[in-house]
Amino acid sequence: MLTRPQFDQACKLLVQEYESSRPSFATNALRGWLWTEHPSVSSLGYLSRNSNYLSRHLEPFIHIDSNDNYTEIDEAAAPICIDTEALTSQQYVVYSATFQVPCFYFTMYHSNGAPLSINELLSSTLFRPDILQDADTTTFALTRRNTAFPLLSQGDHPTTGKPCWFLHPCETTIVVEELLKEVEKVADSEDAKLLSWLKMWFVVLGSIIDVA
Amino acid sequence: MSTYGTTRHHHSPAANFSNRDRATDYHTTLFRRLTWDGTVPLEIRVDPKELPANSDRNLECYFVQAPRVSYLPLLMPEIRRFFMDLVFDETAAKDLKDEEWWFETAEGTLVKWHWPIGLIYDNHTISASLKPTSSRSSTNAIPLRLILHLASPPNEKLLLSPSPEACKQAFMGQLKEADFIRWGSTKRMTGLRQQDQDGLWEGIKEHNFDDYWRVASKVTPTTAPTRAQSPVPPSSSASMVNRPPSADPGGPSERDGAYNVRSIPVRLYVPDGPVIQGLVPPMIDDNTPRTLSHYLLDHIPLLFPASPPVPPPSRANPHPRPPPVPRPAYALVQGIVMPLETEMAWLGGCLAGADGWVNVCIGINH
Repeated sequence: MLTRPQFDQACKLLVQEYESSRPSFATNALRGWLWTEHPSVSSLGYLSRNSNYLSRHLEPFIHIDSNDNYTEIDEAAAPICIDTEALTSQQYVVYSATFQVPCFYFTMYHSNGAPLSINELLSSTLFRPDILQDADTTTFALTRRNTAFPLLSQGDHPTTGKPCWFLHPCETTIVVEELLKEVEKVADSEDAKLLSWLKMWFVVLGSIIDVA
Repeated sequence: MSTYGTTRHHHSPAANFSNRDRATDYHTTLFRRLTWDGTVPLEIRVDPKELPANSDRNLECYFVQAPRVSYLPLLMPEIRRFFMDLVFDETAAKDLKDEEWWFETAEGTLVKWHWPIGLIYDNHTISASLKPTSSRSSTNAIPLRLILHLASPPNEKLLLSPSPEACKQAFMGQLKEADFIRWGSTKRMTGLRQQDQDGLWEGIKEHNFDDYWRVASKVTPTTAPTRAQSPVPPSSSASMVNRPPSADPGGPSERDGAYNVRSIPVRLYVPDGPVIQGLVPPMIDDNTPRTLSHYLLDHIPLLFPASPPVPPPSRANPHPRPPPVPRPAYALVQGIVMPLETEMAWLGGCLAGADGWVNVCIGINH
């Protein structure tokens, strides 16, 4: 876990590292973030950025014969992914005061400004396709079976107070720290360790959503 | 200020709890009962521009004395019944969809339905304290005026579903977070049988103290009688009962006591400001419990400055006391102005809301 000052420092280091770097696919997730603080209360800073996604519809692969007649649905063939509408997403990395780790909050809207329903969110290109496995959904949350908290649910942004969707952070620390054991060198400076921690957190986040 | 029901017949604390022999002392039970029984007045009025045709305008206001620990979505059925049965004309109202109903304060702020009603009320009180004409001297509670809109919720509102199911999930989430804050894991909450976990929410829905606490006592820390110091009750408070001597025979387990938690689940609300949450360990050092004064000095020192030191004794003043300081602000918990020497751990054990959280609302003095 991170203390709030460590979180603040890690975020600032991240912004600094990538603000002048050349864009590359590998680092998409880490680039373009802005650090914002609350105008009057310290210790409520967060990262934010805007991203675009597409709504994703899956159609079965249908054979068409030479007379342009539909013949059969080929269940063995992969479904065709039809991306239709452009969706805008505001994304935030905030500090969870309860779990003392970063936490991913976001909103997503149709091009006409209407917010997406949970089903629309889950079938957009924001989420990895296996998101629905072993999970139950309601109109307000997605919960993996046998877990204490919903994976995806609604809450107020801790700094702005605006309602958002967020991914529950409680399992994050364990996974991040396991992964860090493999890569961290004892001789790294405190700043290097903080930046590694945050980058590893983005890796773990990337297993659920497409942060690019 | 809000009213508290008179203390009704006392249940013997031991009789309510399981064979696990976790008798809660009389003192803790008393304050938990007072918190549970606390209510606030609400005045709900439909936006006049949205009243369906032929509504009975003489009855346009619904008054309710709502429990502090309850939630607006749980009040919706009675609010709906009042307006649909008594106020709206049946034909004009038949197309209304109550999932599109939403609340706004008279000042135009969107009401957070997932906050306990007591918190919505206290947060409004402190927001009003910013205005120069407000006065805290009145002992009668002023109703919180809410405007009920029947359609076209703003986009922000569309995002947060107001259903009782969503409300239950948010409530359970808060209880688990409080558990995590206290002990570093949610084992105590998740270790409860599903039936018991559901029983907590049923207790809120039915507003039944015994049903709620039958389960909550298994996960909520108690204050050990030898260490708890309740604040001196404010003399202006109408039905606050003076702290009686503790009658507890065995005492709760120290290991699970309020003074042994890692941190107390507390949130701080400043008028029209963000919600502040930080680590609140119960003790400053081995012998000194953290008080509200320490907590507020840590987070909002400009409003709650440290007391200047006591001057050294002199012949003219052999028993000096610290000089009085002007207090620009006050702290409300459950609608009561709290003495600053109140211990945070005591608040966690005795004056937390039903969702496990102590909500400290800061108002401005004039």
